[in-house]
Amino acid sequence: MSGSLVCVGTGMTLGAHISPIAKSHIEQADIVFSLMANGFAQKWLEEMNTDVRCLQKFYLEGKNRNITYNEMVEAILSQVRVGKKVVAAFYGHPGVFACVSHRAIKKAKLEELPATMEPGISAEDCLYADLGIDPGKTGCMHYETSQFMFYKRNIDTSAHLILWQVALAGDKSLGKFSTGKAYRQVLVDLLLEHYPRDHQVILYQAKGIAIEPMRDDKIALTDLVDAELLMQTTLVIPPCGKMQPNEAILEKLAAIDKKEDRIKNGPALTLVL
Amino acid sequence: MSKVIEVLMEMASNAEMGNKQSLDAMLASANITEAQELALKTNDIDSLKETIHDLPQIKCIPILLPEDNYEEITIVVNSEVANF
Repeated sequence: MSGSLVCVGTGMTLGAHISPIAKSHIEQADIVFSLMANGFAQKWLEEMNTDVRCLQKFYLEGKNRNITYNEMVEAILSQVRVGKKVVAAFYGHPGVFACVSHRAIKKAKLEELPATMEPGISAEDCLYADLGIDPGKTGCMHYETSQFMFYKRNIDTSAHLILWQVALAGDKSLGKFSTGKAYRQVLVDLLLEHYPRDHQVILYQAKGIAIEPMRDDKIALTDLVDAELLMQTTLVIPPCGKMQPNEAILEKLAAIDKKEDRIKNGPALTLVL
Repeated sequence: MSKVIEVLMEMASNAEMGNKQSLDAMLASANITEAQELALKTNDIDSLKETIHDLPQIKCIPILLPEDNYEEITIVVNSEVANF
């Protein structure tokens, strides 16, 4: 019998966000591997299937996450290879800011094992709803915080800038559970090249269970250094400038409009024989 | 299923639970301890945790690596060399 892998998302809030198909996959799996955000969600999952295997045991502070994640992938695929119907359940969306699912599916496919992904409601989805941000209004840029620091990026201050995993800002070791003030100061200094010191930013956390409030702490940008940051905290930086018109493109478009108007409103042609 | 987890699910998935009277009625009829009921009413997560003796410990959440150095996996499907 051929094994299979389905990576599913359970959403952010226990019981509220899971899709019917994700729930069904979990209930019908031979084995469910799990990476949940809190103990309540883990317990909930353990009551949906009799064989739930928590992947938390692979985490160790100081251990390179590349190794941790590869071990998780191997644990998952070892059961697929022996013919089990395997589900890997991740909180939120299994394919957003989570490389285990992508790695596992990629490797399974290379081994010609069936592997698919079912989406879940992500932290990003909750962020738009909780903070009342429409990413289409002025645009929205998303970066993993450390990556944002390691590489030169073009920052558009007329759009929202959202930095994920801000508690791990500047971690090159891939083994820390959080970085300290010195690292955050580097991030703040980088952002101060583009934003005023007193620019109001938001520390956001989606709620994990019904009785947990979402976090939307508004602080000045410079206060980020001393703020309490958890692994799931996201930094939301609202725009500080207006969108600048692109005159060259607008001129080109106006010329096209004019040409199209001429064709539409021009004299009707008559065929003269 | 654990009654507390059932209650948390109900609170998260039933729109009527936004109404205090409905919520109180549901909590009163749920088969949970007084301490759990109080913790749920006061949104006291730490106290609620203390009431569940076998609550799993979560030490870390999955994150994205800033530089995904995962080596491209290649498998050799057919290693035989054909000489023409």
